[in-house]
Amino acid sequence: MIKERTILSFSILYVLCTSTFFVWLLLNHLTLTSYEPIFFNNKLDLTGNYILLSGFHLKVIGHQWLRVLMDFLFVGLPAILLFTVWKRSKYTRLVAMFTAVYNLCYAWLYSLLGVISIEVFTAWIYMPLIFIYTDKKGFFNMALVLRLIFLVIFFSTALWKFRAGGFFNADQMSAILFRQHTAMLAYAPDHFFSNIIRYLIERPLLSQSLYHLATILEVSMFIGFFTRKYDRMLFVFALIFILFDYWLMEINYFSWLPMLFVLYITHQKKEMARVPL
Amino acid sequence: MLLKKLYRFNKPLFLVVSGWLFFFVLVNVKWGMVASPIYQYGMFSSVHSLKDTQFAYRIVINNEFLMPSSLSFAERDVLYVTLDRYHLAAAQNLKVVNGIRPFLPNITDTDKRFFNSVSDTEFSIWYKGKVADVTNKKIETLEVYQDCFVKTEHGIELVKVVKIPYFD
Repeated sequence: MIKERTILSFSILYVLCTSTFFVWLLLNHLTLTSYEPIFFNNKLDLTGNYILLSGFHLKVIGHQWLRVLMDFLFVGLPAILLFTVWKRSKYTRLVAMFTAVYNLCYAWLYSLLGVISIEVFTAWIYMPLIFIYTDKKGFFNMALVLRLIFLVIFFSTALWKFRAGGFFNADQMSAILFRQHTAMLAYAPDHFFSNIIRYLIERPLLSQSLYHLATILEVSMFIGFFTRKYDRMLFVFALIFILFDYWLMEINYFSWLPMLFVLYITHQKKEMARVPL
Repeated sequence: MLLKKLYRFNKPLFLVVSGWLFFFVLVNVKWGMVASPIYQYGMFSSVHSLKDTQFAYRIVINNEFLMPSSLSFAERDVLYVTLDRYHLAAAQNLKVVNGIRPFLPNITDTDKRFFNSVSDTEFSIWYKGKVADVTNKKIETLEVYQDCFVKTEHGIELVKVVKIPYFD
């Protein structure tokens, strides 16, 4: 069962994850402030396009102070949320909801103006909602909701691989690696990383096994729909997936970490099953 | 069951979660448009072929080739993905507008909220600044080439070179 201090610890963890992600953006010239976008690539997103009607993205392109403010709020709002959780403020729910809505707008605008896709930001959109309730029962119920969202999303990635045919294509992973790392393979062929990638591309059976393994890790989330007993195992599976995504595909999904930690706290040992929620 | 538990705990929350599940399934089954905060997570799911031609951007700063291995992968994204995004922007934005017209019928083809107004020259000046930021170099000259490669038995073969004209 959730303890009082779990809620505070979780808000600290959330702030640490956001700050670390932001520092990573900062070090790689990826914040809105340092990227200073001058054009946008629209996406087929209905809600997002209603936001575009306001013309706010053009203001973000035109004003550096606005970009600074947006970056500042992205990293600052979780800190404010932590403060309200710590002080058990009556405004916690309001701050949590505002942070979630703000992060949704930030993520949408960022994916429009920057070089990171919106899927990477998913956890930042949903995570603040866990603090809508700061009593033990409410917090735990919201943790279960976020757990469900995480499992559904992760499981859907596996279904897509079956539906779109990638799972059944023998050359799939080799072709993806070729596409993803063309520049490194072509211009830095002797680099250690290029050698690993080339080794995998030349062996479609081996690389496709990795693709299948990743799909199995995603499919395994299905277990979570029936029991919470294996949540920590699913946590490890998702972590392995994220590590490989970072190392092999060079995609930073560490932003999903806070959502993974939800699995860590919702894990239910057998003897706890009788504890009423 | 969680939904039953939520129904007892808080009915509006139950409705929100049920609605999320419903729209998630709908958006993913329909396979096309999404609606924030519900997305499709089908990256790298469609069939890719090793026979497909791939391309990479070759950046030459002050007559010196910029080695991608000298950059972090995120810095490479800043330089390469940006070029790609700009290259595709006009067609992409038009495609999106055509897709959302049934929902937003008043958008015109010159609406600045939906179409970029930046010129190639403005972009090239801005991009030089990005390259300078990432590489910490003063940019005197900048040339960018789009090299096309195919995978052969002997490795990767260069089949076509296109010089990006607006950096001249």
